[in-house]
Amino acid sequence: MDTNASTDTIKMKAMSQFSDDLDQPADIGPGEAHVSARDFSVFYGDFEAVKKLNADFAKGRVTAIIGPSGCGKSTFLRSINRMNDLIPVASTGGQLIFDKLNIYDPRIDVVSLRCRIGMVFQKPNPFPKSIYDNVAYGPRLQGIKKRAQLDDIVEKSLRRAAIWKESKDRLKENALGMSGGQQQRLCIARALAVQPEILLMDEPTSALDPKSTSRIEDLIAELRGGYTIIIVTHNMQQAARVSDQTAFMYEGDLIEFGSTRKLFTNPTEKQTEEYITGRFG
Amino acid sequence: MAKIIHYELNRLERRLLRMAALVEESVLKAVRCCHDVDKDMADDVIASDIELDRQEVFIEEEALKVLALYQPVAGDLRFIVAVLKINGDLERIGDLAVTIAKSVKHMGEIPGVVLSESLDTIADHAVRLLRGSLDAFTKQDAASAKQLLAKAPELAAMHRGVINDVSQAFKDHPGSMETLISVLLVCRALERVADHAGNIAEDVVYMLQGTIIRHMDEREIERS
Repeated sequence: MDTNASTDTIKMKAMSQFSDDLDQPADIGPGEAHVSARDFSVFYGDFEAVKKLNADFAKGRVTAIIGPSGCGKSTFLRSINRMNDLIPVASTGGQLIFDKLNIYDPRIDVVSLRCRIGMVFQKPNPFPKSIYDNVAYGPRLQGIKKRAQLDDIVEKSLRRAAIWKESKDRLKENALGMSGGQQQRLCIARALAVQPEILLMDEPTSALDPKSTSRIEDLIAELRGGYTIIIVTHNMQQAARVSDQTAFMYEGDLIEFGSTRKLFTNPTEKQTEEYITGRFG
Repeated sequence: MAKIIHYELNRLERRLLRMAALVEESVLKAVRCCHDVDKDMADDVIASDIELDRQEVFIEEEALKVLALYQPVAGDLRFIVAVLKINGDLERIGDLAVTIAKSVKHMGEIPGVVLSESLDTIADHAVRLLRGSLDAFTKQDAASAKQLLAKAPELAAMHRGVINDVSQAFKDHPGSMETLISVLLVCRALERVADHAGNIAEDVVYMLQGTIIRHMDEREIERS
């Protein structure tokens, strides 16, 4: 029997796919910080919804924030691109550092901050406009008027959001005619069109069916590396699937923050263990 | 859903403990039938393996069901992984009890008190390791699982002792060749039982601490 032949087949199979990944550890280290929270708090009036949070969110990585309802995770996420400014009673303490500046520094231009830190919401919220105009909306606000340039941005953004194939022949149609999953990917394309560095996702798949959810999760994996993604999710399995790092929050405190693999196989804190195994929360 | 998964995990634990009790009984019987050269009891041990095989498949199917339906994480995930691995070790231990029983069928009276005592010693040690590892699982006691692993090297010396005794017996009792070969097979099987018991102890440490200690030396295990 030619035993070498079978050994070669095995080797070829091992090399054929994902060969670059074989010797890499399954999880990666924390990496360079893109956004850093330093004793960062968010208050609604006297109520401290996020309590002196300290964490570094790594560049090009996906970080999931999990925790029971009311733990402050969405409040924290929204504070990263100052969406909480829209709530009159909201105020902050400490620092949230992005690109060496405190996001809450009075010198910060909130509009350009939101271009650099995009957001995708729980419910898809396309404008009642055409698919094309939805994606071109941000770039137009930025002053881009040339049709060819806008065409290029729209195509690239729709491709990056994995919705180009489904939308290229209906760019002039109203976006509200798309399915929920398509609308959400369109919203991601719209966020990408202004070339953000960070993408905040607030439960982006909670209103979607399993197939659309899976497409959004695939998309997050594709965007990883090019963008820093911070995602708030109630779906623990989703956090485990899509993220490199996971933060667990409870009653405004950051209980545990670390590699997703470690947190979901052997968490350090008892509270984390109890929450992710469904023993409380 | 949390309640359902914990109910399922509890059932799985009880099933594994039932399997463990059957395996332990099978090993004890195998050891006793070897000591007494009781061929009827050897038949009992061989017959009981069918039930162990059935239980093993059942436990594996149940564990896979829990994995697929509830996607457990953290301690629950490590528990399922430990159950799957311990289940496999228990089934192999059951097979080794059968190996011992089958060897007994070819045995005559063991020649010489010394050899008989050496075999009893190694059997005691293997049974103690098996009981200890299962106790550590039941009591969720990582420290005692680690202590057991420290005792594993003693077995190699005992095994060596039996081989020496058998070598001597080959010279003194050339007519007992078949019995002596059976004794060697029994001795090897007991050593393998102890190895599997060691695996169980390692799985208990993984289940409780999340550390894979399989290839660590004694000092590293202590520090883990």
